[in-house]
Amino acid sequence: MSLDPALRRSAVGGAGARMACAYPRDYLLLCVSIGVQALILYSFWSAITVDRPDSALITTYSVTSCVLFNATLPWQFSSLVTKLKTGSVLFDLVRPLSLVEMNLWESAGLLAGRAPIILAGLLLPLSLRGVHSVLDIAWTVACAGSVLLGSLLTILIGQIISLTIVWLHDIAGVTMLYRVVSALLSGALVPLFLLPAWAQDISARTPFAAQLYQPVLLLSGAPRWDGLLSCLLNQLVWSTLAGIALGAIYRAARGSVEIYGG
Amino acid sequence: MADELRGYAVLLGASIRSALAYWQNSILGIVAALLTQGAQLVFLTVALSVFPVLSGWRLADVVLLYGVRMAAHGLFVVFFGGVIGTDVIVRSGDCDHMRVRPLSLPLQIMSNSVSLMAVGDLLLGTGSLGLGLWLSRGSLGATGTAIAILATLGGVCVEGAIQLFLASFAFRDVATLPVRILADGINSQLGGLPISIFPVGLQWLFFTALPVAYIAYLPLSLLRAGNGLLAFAASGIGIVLLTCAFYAVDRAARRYESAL
Repeated sequence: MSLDPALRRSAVGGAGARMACAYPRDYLLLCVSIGVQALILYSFWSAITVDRPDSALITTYSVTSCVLFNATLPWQFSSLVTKLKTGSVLFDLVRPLSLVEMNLWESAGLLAGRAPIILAGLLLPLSLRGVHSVLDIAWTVACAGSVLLGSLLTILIGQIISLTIVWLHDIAGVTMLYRVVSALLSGALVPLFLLPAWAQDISARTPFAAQLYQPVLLLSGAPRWDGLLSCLLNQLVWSTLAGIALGAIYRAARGSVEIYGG
Repeated sequence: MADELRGYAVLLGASIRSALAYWQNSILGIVAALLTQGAQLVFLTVALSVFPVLSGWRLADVVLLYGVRMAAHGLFVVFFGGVIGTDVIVRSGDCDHMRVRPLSLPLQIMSNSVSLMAVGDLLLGTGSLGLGLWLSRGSLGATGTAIAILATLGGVCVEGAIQLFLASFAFRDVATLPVRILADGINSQLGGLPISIFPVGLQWLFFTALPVAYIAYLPLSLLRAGNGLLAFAASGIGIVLLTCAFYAVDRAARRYESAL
């Protein structure tokens, strides 16, 4: 008897979601940690931008990006690294779902497990700016799609980076570099519009801005439907490119896996 | 007391040699520490170059605040690095050996292991402390410089006291690592910021339950206000807190039951 593919995917996704909620105390600590970070950023930006016209935008952006960045698997890499080192990847290779597919569904499950935090992040701009009309709520719902697409892009890039373990044996250096570059260029550290023009240009030419900065900026400001469309288009292009690259890298990596022992 | 310190130095030396055995790992750790901790300095520099004043504190003041906190953190990782493994020490039964050695338990826990990431923290800390002192040279003077250095040493004790106190709960069968990581994270994020920007309730918290305000903020804000003597006294609060934390660990360890 074999499970149909949809059932297999939902089983892996369900396991990811259960994993996210399996340790209530850790979950609570994650929420407290994100809340404290958000409070620190709120206090910081409110104090430093006091009496400035763009104070509300900067504060809303920073707090929202902090919550969404921490909740949507910012720098999380798959368990592939450990599996390859211990040889347990062998079991995954003989399963009827590919490694990449399993990792993607597991990440999707983790996101579902963190849905309450993500929802809180999406509602933050509404509570900070205030709800003026039904349009504000419709805008938040529309932007939620963009936030999730940005998260998908982050997951795809994370998978590409974790696959380099096949050739590098230790990816600590690569992940460190990625963390710093992505934190800077995705607007997670500082809103990109506060960076010098050259840094903003670099960010706009990479997938990093589409990961977090563009959706969160749209979510924090007044509704701009043309801006949302161009953001969605940009995210789709980068996600497609990342998906193609991931597929190619996975095929090459699969042929290079060597398992000793078992 | 001298014997205790000598014993601590011997164990710490052994831990450092053990960490040096994996030098590639150490180099990666140093780079990781520089990149991770340096991100906050980048954040502060960018923000304060666009908006020059943060609740009355200018870039030079904030860099000094960050430098004192970071240098204190670097020294903390060297001298208190082993505290991170307290949960494992208790659960694995390693505490059995520690309790029969002629050295106080907190000192043995502190010197149990050393991460050479501390070198990265120290490089960044001393570099930014030096930069902060240089940028504030006009307003600080010799006394101010001495107090900033004392505040750094006091900050090591405060951070050590917070982590040791939280680790003492490991003897009560509680997994303390997540809470200690949370406390460390709050300390890292607050370190370079004046506490006065936070709501009053939170400020109260940072002076009482999670006393991170004593690490750099209190001595430096008193110094800025021209109260050199009080700033000097505030730098010594760490010693009091550390003594209390040592007592808490010793007291909690009475509940220890061997796992072996």
